[in-house]
Amino acid sequence: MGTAGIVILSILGIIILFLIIKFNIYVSLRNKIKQSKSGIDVYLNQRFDLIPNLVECVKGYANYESQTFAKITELRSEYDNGKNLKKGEEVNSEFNKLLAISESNPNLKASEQFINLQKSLTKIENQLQAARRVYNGDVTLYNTTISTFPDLILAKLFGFKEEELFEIEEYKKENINIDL
Amino acid sequence: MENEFEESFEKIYNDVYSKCSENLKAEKSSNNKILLIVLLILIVINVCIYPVFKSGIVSLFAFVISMIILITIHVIRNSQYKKMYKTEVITSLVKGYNDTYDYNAYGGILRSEYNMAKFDSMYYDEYFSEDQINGTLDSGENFKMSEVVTKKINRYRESDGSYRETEEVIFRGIFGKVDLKKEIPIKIHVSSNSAFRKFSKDRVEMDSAEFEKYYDCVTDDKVKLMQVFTSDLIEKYIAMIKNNKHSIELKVEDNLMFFRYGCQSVFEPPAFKDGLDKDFIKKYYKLIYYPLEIIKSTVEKMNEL
Repeated sequence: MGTAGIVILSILGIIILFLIIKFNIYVSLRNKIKQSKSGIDVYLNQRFDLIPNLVECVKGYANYESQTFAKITELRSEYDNGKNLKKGEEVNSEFNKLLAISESNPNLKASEQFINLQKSLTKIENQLQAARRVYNGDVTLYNTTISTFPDLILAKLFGFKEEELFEIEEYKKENINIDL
Repeated sequence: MENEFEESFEKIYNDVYSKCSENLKAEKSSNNKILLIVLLILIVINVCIYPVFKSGIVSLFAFVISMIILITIHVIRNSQYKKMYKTEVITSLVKGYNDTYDYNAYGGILRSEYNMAKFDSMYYDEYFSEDQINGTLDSGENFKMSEVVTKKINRYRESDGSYRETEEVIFRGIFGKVDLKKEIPIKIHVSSNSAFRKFSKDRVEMDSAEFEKYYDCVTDDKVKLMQVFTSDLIEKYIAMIKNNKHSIELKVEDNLMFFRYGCQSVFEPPAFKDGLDKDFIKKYYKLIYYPLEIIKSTVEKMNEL
């Protein structure tokens, strides 16, 4: 093999090595997103597990709509089937509405059972909020990496697509009408 | 945060000035008087020596001796002034920030305590520590911080076979330790931004571009770290770098927190300025205020975990 052949082979070797490194970086960044997504799932489930407790609490004090609970249960089973985080956030949003209604009831606010439940919910909500921020941070890093040159071309070549960021929950944008 | 700093500083500066200005001025003018008198005496002696001995070598010798005497007196008087500056001005500054904190110009943090933090990956030969501030945070944790200098001695062999030594400063700045009241369930390491850590497995991508520009956060529990690093705390870390031109490095493990930040020699009186120069005192106050605000908030947030 002549000098030219060695040079061409070396260049090819460097290019392949570069592509392997780049591919591995994209994969590790995508795995980080998956990991942080599963973190959100853990906290969402912890929160949803408290739904029956909240409903039990509310029952004794307020005339809550049974439809609300049915809706939450339905949404939760949809979430459990697909593990779609958007669905999960929808359940959470409904759950928060129910919580907001409960919090406006003075009798309920004085209940020890409700206070303890509220504490647990606040703790999980903080963790959920933090998990969302971790997820958004990982998604931002991944999206920035695959949308800048030359990664833009390579990522497309390897089939890596941009991931969606978490937006502010819908219920926080709305004005909640409390009617007990 | 900057507004709070300015308000707090204005009040403290006025207090420090009213307490210390007279004593400092008196000490400085007494130093100058003594030096002037000694200088005049030495000039007279030197002028008289030449006609008596009529020898250039004797005159040169007398001049050198005079210079040594003058420098020695200056150094002695200056160290007294420095002592006074530290005891009065810096103590008032520290007490102004928090009345319960103490300042000890000659106290320092032990080398073994500095090593516990494992901040320096590089080995160092010499360790020096002074200017200690200690106290109890509002949330009840004891802390201490002091100036630390670590140096590495490099030995070279010259071509003629002799050895030459050079000093390399590894770290110069403030180092501190906080004894946390409870064991913290996560490990945290905040350090200045480094390209090497960008893709590290344990690195957390924070949701502030400005924070990301200056710092790297590594932890074994990202969610808990995010609970600690809320937007108001992130703002404090950014304010630190904007105002002190240095980032703070922080480590949390079990029930200990270590922190350090680089800066030039601290709490020394200025060489060519008035000791109570407002900008100069402000520079020292920034070195106390911003890091302690970060430490206080970080500890409070960690206690909530």
